[in-house]
Amino acid sequence: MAKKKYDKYIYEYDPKMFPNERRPVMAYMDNNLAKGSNFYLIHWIMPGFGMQPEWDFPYAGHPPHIHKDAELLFHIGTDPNNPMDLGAEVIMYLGPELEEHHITRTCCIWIPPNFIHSPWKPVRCDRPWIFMEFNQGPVHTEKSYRQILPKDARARMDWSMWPDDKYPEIMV
Amino acid sequence: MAYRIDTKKCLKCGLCVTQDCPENAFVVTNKVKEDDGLILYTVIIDENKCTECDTCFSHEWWCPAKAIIRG
Repeated sequence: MAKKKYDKYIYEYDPKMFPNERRPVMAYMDNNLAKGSNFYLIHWIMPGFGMQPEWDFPYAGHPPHIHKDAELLFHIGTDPNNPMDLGAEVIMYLGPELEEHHITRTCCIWIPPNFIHSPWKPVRCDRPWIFMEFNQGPVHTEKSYRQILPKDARARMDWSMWPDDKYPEIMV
Repeated sequence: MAYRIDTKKCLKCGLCVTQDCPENAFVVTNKVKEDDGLILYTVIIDENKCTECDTCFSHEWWCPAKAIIRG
């Protein structure tokens, strides 16, 4: 097919970006791909995700962390007859107090800049649903707050999976 | 009115030191590396540097633990 002038504005997700990804990723964008774009990651959550044996303990899941920029976490159900039903249950902890929330409805969680959030973990999935992570900044950033976890949960996590990302080193 | 860090609330993340205090009043006094690689920082607000401009206290994003207190 002949090339068109604005083909350059149509981006298709390249699976090579996340070779070990368990979640089927549908779309990814950031300032490195398109100058001026914020960070966006959109993927399916399939039955079984989050319920793997290595996450079978209290406070498992994506560990507590912050981002430099505000983040919007859209949880989107896929039942066209009942779109506000997530068809799943996700545990999400908010704040340094680890306030526990159970997400079962289509919704968006607003995460202010540097607000501690997670662990985030699906605990039930009746049908695939869509997760969208939008950061109001040009690229992904992350800083761990694992110190708020109970000791036994902290000891069971594989911390190599959750490195800090683009927070400045603290000079002493 | 002096500002200080509530040591009971502080998570020792050190983020406050990187937040561009106009007077560089946030000072690390101790640094400890935990078994899983996390580095914890003990930080104080140097009262000789702090001009009580209120920048750190008034910006919600400055301290994730809300450990900066006034008075």
